[in-house]
Amino acid sequence: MTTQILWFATRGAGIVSMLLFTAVVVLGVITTMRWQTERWPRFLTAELHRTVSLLSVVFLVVHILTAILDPFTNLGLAAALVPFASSYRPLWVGLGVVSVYLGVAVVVTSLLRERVGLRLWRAIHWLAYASWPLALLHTIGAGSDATATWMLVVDAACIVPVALAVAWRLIYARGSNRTALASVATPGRGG
Amino acid sequence: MASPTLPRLFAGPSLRGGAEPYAAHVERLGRLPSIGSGAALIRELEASGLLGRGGAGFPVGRKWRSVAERAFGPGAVVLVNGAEGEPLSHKDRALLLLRPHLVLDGAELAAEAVGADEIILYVGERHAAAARAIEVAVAERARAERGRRHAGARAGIRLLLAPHGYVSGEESAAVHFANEADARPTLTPPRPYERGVGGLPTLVQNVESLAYVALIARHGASWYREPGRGETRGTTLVTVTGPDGRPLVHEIELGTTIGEVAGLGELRITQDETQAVLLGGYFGRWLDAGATWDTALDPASMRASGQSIGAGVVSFLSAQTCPVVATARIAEYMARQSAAQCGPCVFGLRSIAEAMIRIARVEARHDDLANLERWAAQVRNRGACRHPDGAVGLLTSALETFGAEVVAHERGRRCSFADGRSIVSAPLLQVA
Amino acid sequence: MATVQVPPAHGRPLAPGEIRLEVDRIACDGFGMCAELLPEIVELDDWGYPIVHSLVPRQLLPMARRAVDVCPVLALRIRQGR
Repeated sequence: MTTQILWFATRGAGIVSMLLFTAVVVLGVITTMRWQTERWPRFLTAELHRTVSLLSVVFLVVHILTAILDPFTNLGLAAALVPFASSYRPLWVGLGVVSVYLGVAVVVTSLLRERVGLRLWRAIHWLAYASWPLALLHTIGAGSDATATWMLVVDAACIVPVALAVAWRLIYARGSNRTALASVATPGRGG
Repeated sequence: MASPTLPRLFAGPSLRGGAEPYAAHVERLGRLPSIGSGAALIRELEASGLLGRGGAGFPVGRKWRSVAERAFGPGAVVLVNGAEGEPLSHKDRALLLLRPHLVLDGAELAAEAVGADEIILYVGERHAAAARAIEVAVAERARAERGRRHAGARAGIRLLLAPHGYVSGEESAAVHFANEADARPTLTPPRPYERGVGGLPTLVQNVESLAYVALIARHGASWYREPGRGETRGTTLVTVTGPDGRPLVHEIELGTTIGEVAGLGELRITQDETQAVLLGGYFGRWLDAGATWDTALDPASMRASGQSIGAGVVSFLSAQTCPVVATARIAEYMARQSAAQCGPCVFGLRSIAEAMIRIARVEARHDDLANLERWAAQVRNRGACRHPDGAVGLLTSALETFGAEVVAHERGRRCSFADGRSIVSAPLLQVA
Repeated sequence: MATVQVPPAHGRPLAPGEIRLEVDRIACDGFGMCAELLPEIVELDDWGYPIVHSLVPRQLLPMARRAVDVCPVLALRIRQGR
């Protein structure tokens, strides 16, 4: 009975974490695009982005711990820490491991943003765009529910919003005022 | 302006002969004096009251003292500022071209006095002749002084070409370029005298200031203070531009009036043919000709009336030229020359320029004039450097001095200069 | 906004107890979150960039810290007089 709980927990927490991660990515894009309405100020999006990401980490931790502790999966610590070292679906689990590492880099640098400095923080933050698709692949390939209808719905609920958000960002690219600033002649940049 | 004390910086062989060679320089003025202690020279400079000639007018002695105080131990750097980004100014180029050894003397004295191991010559990349002349001069000195110990001999000298552009000569921009090949101003504090090139206290000094230092070190503070009509003593270089747009560099006694400057050399500009005076270059202010013809170019008295001699740029706007068009062109240039780092500068100056251009074209929108005043207040003091302040200063002086003409344009009536010429071909103040 | 409030002497030393919200003009990218959180002391200019026209009242200090935290480009800092 206990193993069933762990197995449910790991799948459940994994899926919730993935959905939250998706929300984080979308909120991040919305922040960059400076979206706002009369009732919804920009800082709210930014703070939500941060809060949801921490929440997603909580579920991620539950997902990883329950996966390791579950005797059925035979996943040891090594499988969780070393990419592609798992005996169970090594590729798909491995992608998840890599995704976590990238995500940890993003989260840690964000928590220590002032210490790390803006440039390094920003460079590492871009890794989120690598972490998310790896997490999605892991969700699709490593889980045992891949073909279930409800799971396909979950997959779509992840892919569609991010695709739309990224498309929005690419098309309108107003992301930064810097784009506008850069279009002005900058005579001082020598070297 | 015949005076027994002038010329001083340009004393020596005919200017037609190009740069004064080292041998002639040494024969005329003697070798570089050993200054004994840096403190002694700094005291002499403070006694002379020499003000910086880069535009800010900061007392030279005090600046050297600030650097010297911090250089103890880690060392320092001297950055000779000959970028001369202001298109209307030509004095720095002229000095580097014709009297490079005065500048180098000053630089070596500075290095000795503040404890610097490195001298950087920062010369505008488009001032090719000046850069060549200073390079030749450095080589001349190296050859002549080989093996001989003399003041500043231990300081290494290197030439850096400043990227073409208005803000490249700004203090922090110069230091930024030396450090990272990026001639955009940085946030201050810390100022260069605290932390500059390579993190060391850096003395950024205009070439003209250093040229005067070279003379003060030889002749003393009282010698420097002899000429002068008013409170501020000494002489200075001015770049004068008349209606034909050709700049001429003159050395004048401080306190000389604007009207007298107009009569210098072959220009002989009269008050009748002049509508206004642009004092301080694009960073300066428009002044009504009639009201300022007798204004003395004396930093002390000018400061009292809220004016500034800046880098000694005096331009005369012909009575035949539309001042609104001239201002619009300057505003557009200043907007383009923004380093594009700070929003209020980039967007503010651009909005201002666009509105001024519309007004100049007699195509003003109904809120353009009101917006100009509003934007001037919003942009002032909102950048990392003073570039937007200069542009806004020029704009507000135009609105004051040419108020009637601006309103005439804005209301859809052509001004009294209706000459039908497009803004692009407007004469005077050839914009780089 | 008919008149623009002048920023309190930017750079002048602070008296003990005074708190100032400072903007890194180069880093600032006009996100405007500071103005949303601190409308009492920050106004946006016509291009969306902040004008900090007053010192931070003590009771707004927590909100000011929140603004410093949320700024996407770390352009804000709080300086206190000592």
